[in-house]
Amino acid sequence: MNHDRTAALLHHLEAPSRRQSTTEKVPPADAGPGTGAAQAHPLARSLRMWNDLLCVDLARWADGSATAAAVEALKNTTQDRTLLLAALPKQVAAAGCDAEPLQLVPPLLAQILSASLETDDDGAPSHLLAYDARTRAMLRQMTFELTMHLAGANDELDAAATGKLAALFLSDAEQRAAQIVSQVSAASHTSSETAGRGRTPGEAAGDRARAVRRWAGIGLATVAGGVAVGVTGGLAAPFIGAGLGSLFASVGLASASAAAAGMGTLTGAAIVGSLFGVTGGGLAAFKMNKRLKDLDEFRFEAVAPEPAGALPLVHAIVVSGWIQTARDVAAPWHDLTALSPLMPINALAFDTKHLMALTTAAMDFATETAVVTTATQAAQFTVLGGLVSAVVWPVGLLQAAWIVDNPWSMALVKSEQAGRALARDILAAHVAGNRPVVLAGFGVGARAIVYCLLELLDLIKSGHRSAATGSADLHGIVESVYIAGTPVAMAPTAWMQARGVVAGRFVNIYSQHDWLLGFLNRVTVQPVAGLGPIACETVENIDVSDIVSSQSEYAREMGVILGRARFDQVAGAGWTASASGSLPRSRNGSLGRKAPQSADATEP
Amino acid sequence: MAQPPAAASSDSRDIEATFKLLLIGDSGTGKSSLLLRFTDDMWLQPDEVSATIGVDFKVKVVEVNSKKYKLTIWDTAGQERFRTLTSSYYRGAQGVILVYDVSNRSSFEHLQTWFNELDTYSSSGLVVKMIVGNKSDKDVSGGREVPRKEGEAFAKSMGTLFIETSAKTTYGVRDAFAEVVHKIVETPALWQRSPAQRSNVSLNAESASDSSSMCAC
Repeated sequence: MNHDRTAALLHHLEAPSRRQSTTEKVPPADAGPGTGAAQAHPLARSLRMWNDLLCVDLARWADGSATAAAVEALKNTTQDRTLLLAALPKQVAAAGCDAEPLQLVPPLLAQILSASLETDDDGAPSHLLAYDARTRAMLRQMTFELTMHLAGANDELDAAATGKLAALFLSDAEQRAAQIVSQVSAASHTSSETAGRGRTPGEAAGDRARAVRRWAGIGLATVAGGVAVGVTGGLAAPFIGAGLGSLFASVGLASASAAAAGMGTLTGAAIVGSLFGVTGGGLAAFKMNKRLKDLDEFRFEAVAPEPAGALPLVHAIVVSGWIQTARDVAAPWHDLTALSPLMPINALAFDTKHLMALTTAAMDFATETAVVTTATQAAQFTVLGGLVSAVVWPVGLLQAAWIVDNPWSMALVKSEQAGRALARDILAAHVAGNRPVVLAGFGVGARAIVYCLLELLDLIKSGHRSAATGSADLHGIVESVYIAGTPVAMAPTAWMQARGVVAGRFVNIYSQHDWLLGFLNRVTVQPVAGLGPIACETVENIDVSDIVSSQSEYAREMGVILGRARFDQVAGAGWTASASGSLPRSRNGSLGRKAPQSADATEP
Repeated sequence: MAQPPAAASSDSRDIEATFKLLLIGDSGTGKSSLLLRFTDDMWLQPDEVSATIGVDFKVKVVEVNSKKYKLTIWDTAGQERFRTLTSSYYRGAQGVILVYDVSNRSSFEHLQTWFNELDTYSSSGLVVKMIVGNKSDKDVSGGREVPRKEGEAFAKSMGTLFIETSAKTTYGVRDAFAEVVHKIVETPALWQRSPAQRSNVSLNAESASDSSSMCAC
């Protein structure tokens, strides 16, 4: 573990507050104006609680001996951070949050977050910054606990409101941390420039290269920022991030892939030419074509673009599975901004012509077989809770099946290919940076996501290492997954394995009335995920049978459905209840996550 | 002017443009009630409402000059303790509605603070601003603390639109939003080259120059 580096980073972050506390000789806990001990007390308690929770969480996730060692090390650093945070209230108060204890949460989290951004992955370039999906999953839970703790004193927030506030606070913290990191990076570079006068050019160049590589971890767009700093000797520092978010959006992920690949072989200022060379050239397209030759189309559309300021530390990739016109790639996801305002969202479009063909065929099929178009009639076909092979379908339906079966099997093949490409060429290649991704999709889009997870699993088994960053840890990429109406039938053990590459929540949204999905999957033996709960205790199952009676309705209702699923918030069920004791269960009949105390280490 | 949306969001084919509006103002001035009245034509009794957490968000399609516009309206928390990084909500907003309570003088006096925040974070100087004096129904009960004239004068001095509303009686609510939308429609520079949500090309002038300067080096 690189304790020295972490300590150095922390020192840099904490320098102002340390200076203050030493010069004024005031116990930092009492420094908050007008609040004093009453404020410090819950904070200290909360921090202890975090620490405990963190260890419990870690024990849950820990499995192999390698992770166990990492857990041990993390426990130690947590102790350090707890000490370090004891000195924080002063600085936090200076940030203008003295009036309201709740408002302490985002800056506190931002500090913890920035301190945890360095990766310890062996073989990765040193000083690489990475935001691990597992870190985020834990932070989200901590945010919730702390928010509840601080707000709970006057008992005016219910669990849903606390969850929402906590999710927004985490977004806040992530944005603050992004700003802290960009400041620190810029500052450390400038200081190494000035200190470098007395040293050999080689050392200075090494510093510069490190500064560049440090940037490389956060995101591809930031890589370009680091390059700019390296070349202009820090003069460009104020511009970092400003134009890069839009660069990222405008060149699209396709060319970004090539740029990231360039990072692996070139360092320092030499990157500049190649980076901007490939951005303008045809290399990106060539590489993409060669790798994705099975797919005619594989591109991203910005639903909520990356902002032009500090880059968000988390992003979402969403996949539609029901496309009538080109607008349906992004349209179902616009309301997602309401649930998570700061999240940049990209919609993946793959072979839309096949999906359009499927949609058209399915609509023809529905017209042809108007006999089973009402939800009540349809319900009898899916009443067995997802096990549809036992259903006796009406002859009329089977006779018309040819209309839809062919485009359907085409869409199944394409969605699998797209999902595997997403894993291989985008996520495992860290094209969007070393930051967690939230995946959401419905219909065959959800199927693409499931195959993306399975491909990640395959890559892990085959000992994959990213060419761009040298990082081998693919468990830390996918933070949460929300799949709805998923045409995937797998054994529970297979779901368990796929669950293993998801650090945070895995939400399966199903409708028992989705007769079309049931019909299309009439030959499967395993239960279909989109028709009933997945029998896996670490998967949250959410029933939307009251909203959705056919595949086609997911596109319209995605905002409502993801709201019910508490998109990007803590899970609503069981396992938070053990910490709070009073959280109502938000869903009936769902398999809640186990309480951490009672959970076995079932996660791979 | 502002017609209620005819149907669900699925037939959004003929939407001319999407506008982002922001509601800001002190807590308890009725921002959420205004929005609820506008989007759902509902009114909740004071004991039924709770403070907004962070931000709430509603969508409504309106028709102006027989063209449809989709409004995404962000309703921010007034209470300090429930506020989150408000600065990020201003990004990309074409219209900002500053709400005060005519029966609460201090909420009117705080408008200047809100204007300061708006000027700090707003991405465009062209953004359409409107001051809304809510709870005008309090006239009847004699609870008014800010005369209409005073509100009008302040709006004039700030160069913004002004209207008095009552979310309770629906008075002025529709007009308030309609006027803001009209003004935005009349200011094409605000939205025609703004980062359209579906577009991949989202360079504003500032960042374009930044990236080009980097390309040059």
